[in-house]
Amino acid sequence: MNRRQFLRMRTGGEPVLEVSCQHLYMRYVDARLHGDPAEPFRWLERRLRGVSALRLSDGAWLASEDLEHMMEPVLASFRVRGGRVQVE
Amino acid sequence: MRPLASVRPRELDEAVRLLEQARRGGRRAVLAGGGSDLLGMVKERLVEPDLIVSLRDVRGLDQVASGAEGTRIGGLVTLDAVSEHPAVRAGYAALAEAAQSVGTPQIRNVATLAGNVCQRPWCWYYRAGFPCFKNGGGTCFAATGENQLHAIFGGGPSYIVHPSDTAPALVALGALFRLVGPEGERVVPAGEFFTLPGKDPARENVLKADEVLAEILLPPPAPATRSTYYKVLDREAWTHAVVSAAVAVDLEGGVCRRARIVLGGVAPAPWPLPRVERMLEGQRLTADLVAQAATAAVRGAVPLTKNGYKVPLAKAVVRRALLAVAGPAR
Repeated sequence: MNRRQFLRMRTGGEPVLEVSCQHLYMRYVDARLHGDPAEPFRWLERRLRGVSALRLSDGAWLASEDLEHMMEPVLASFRVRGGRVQVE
Repeated sequence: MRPLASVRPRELDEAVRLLEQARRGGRRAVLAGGGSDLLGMVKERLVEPDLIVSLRDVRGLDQVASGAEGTRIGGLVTLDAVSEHPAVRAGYAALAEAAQSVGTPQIRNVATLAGNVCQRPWCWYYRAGFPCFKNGGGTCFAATGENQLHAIFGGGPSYIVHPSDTAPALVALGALFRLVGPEGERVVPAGEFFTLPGKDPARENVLKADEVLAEILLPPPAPATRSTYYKVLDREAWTHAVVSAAVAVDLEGGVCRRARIVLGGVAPAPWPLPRVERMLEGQRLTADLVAQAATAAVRGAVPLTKNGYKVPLAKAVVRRALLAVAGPAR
């Protein structure tokens, strides 16, 4: 990593988006309370446009209520585009 | 220059005796555990002691011991040691997380649990030397002044917020405090240790003159207890909570049998929410119930002129802390 990459926090490798399922779930509950439950998933969709892999941490939180159900269309369209999803 | 002496007794009784002797002799004596707060206060001339009684050499106060009766944490155990101790992490996650959230690694390496619980407020008027209630004066400048970081519950006539991260966790976990003074020992529940300014606006707790918080006793955790500490800061790290919540619940088959919720950063003392706890007991912690509980948590809040933002923040903090304990086991 050179100084420029460091300052931009880029490693030069495969662009990967890391998302905590716990944080996403909290954000989903907030969005539901504000009457727009799809907001976190639109956000995720936008963020996935620039990457080829998604790393989901705290994967146990996917089982919380209908989080997995809400995420499935987003992940499916990402996979169709050739994206890889890794759940940890 | 004022003369300043320091003594390092090896026994707690001796420390108490030295404090009492100094006070009776008209000297101003102060206790130092890690000294991380005291040193700054001496530099700022908020306290001008003649004698510092350092507890660093007192035997036995830097130990954590677990047994059938629970866990005993000496008052001199550092915040870093508290946050890393396996028994604390396993049985009292809220305390480990609260201790981990304090200040910086350098502070956590020297600051003690008792010192964190007993630290003086960080109100900017008090720390800047204004003649407020805490500095021996007769007013609270925050009441109508710069009160962005002040109380929304329990305030008046002073509107400080209690600065300790570990205090809400200890109240939520049902800790007992062993206090040692010239008249002997007494044990006080954490929830009764902290006092509101309506009683005496100069003080934050029930410690008497020359009394020391020697030890913290935590009851054995129920097998289904989960707890957490959720803290919101006005910057990424290294500061006090703007709002925080310590939550401890007993969950059996997804049903909440017992709940304890205590807010930090919003009142002059850790602020328990018994009405909200009763809403949860006997129920499944669904996102909808948690949202209702969070709404109930801020009922009765009385924001000052510049801290109304703390009300929705407290609501969100309670919601997030409850969702965290209701979610998958960590």
